[in-house]
Amino acid sequence: MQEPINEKLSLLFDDQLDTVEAYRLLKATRHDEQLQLKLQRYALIAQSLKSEQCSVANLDFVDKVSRQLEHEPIYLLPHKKHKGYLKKTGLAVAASLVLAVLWLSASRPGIQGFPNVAGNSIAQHTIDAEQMNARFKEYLLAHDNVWYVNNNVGVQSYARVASYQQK
Amino acid sequence: MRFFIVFFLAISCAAAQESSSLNGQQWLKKVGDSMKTLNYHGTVIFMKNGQIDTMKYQHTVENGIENERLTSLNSPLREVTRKSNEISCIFKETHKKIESQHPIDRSFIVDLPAHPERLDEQYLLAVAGQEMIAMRPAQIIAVLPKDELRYARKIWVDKASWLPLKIEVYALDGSTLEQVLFTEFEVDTLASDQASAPMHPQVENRHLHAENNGALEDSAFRLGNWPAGFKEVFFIRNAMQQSKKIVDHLLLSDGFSNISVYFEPKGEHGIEGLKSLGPVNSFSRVVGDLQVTVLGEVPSQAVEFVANGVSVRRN
Repeated sequence: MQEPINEKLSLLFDDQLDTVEAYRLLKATRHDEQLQLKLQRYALIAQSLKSEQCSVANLDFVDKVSRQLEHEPIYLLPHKKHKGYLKKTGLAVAASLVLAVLWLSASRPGIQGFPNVAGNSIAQHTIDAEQMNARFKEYLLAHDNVWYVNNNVGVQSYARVASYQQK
Repeated sequence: MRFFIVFFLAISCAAAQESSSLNGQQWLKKVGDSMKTLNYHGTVIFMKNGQIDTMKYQHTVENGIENERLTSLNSPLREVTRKSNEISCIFKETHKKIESQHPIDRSFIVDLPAHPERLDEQYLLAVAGQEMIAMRPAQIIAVLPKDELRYARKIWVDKASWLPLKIEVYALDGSTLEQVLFTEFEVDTLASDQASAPMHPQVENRHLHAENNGALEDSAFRLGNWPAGFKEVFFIRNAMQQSKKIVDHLLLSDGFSNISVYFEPKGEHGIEGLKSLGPVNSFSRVVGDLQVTVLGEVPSQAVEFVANGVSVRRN
C-alpha cells in the first residue's frame, strides 16, 4: 500500500499524475497527517532536485492557507455552497497553490526566495557542500598522482561518469 | 609540540647507540638513489584516511626511466601504473582506464627530497633505532620538522638495499595520519619483462589533463606568504577532470611535503574555509573575483598561512 502512494507522490511532483488521480491523492492526504508530512517532504525533494535555490515553507503553511480559505467570505458565488464542498475546494486550491509556488521556484533558478515565506536555504547548502567536495577531489588528483592509489578519493567514480578531454 | 620533544629525546638516545656512521641526511640520500636505480617488488599496505588497501607492488627501471605498478588485491580491483610522470589507472571490473600526466615524477611509496642536506633549517633528520619489517632488518630514520607547518615522519629503511620498507606520517599531536608498509619485499636482480608489456589492450582508453607551462611572475597572482623551505616546482594552466574548469596550478615543495595553490575565477558561489582528508588540508578563500584554494599534505595552519598571503597583482 505504501509503495503505490509513494509512487503517486513522486509522479505528482514530476507532473506526470493525471488530474483525477492527483485529486484522489490530495483528498487522501486530508485526513492523514503522515501523508501530509510526506507530501511536504516530496515537495522539498522535488524542488531541491530541480532548482539550485530553495525556500522551504513552514510545515503548517498549507494548513494556514486552507484554514484561511475556509473562513474567507466568497462574494462571487450566487449562493453559499455546503461546507463539505467548500473544504474540498479549499484543499485543492491550497495544494495547487503550493505546487504552483514550488514549480515557479524550480523554473526560476535566480530567484532569491519568497518575501512572505519564512524559508530555510537547505538545498543551497547541500549543493555548496557537493561542489566543494567535487572540487576537493579534482584538486587532490591534480595535486599528487599518489591519490590515484587511494580509492577513498573516488577515482573510480570519475572513471564511470566523467567525459574526458582527449589528449 | 611536546610530543615531538619527547620523540626527539628518544631518538637522540637511540642515535647515540647507533653503530652506523651515516647521519640522517646521508641515509635519505642513499634511499633516494636506490629508489631510482633498483628493481624490486612486494606486497604493500596503504593505510590512509581510515582505509586499508593491500596491493602488489613492482618497481623497475628501464633506460633510467622508473616504472611502478600497483595491483589491488581487494575490491575495487584496479591497477595503477606509473612510467616516469605518466600515470594510468585501470579498473578491472568496469574496463575503464584513466591516463594522466603529472608534471613531476612522484613515487607511490614515499616522496623524498633530492637534496636532504639542504633541509637543515626545516627538519631534523635523525637516525633512530632498528626494527624488523617484512622479516628484514630496517633502520629507522626520523624526519622531524622544526616548525608546525609540516608533519613529522619516520622511514624504515631496508639495511641491505637502502629501500624504504615502511613510512609513517604523524599529526602535530603525535597521532598517526597514514602508513605505508611492505609485508613482503624482494629486490630483483634483473628487470622484469612485464613492466613494459601492455596489460589490458582491450580497455577503453581516455586521457586527462592538458597542460600549458607558465610562469608565476607572468600571472596576475602574488604569493605573499611563502613557508620557509618550500620551493616552486611548477606553475601550469590545467583543465580539471570533471568540471573541465581551467585552473592555474602552482606547486610548492620542501622535498617531503607538497602544497598546491589553485587559482580560478570565482563561481556563482565562492567557497571559503578549511577542508581535511587525512593528512591533506585545504583552505579556500575568495580574493576579489578570484577563487583561491591551497591544498597539501601539511597541517591546516600551513595551508591557511599560504592562502591568506594570496593577492592579485596590480599592474
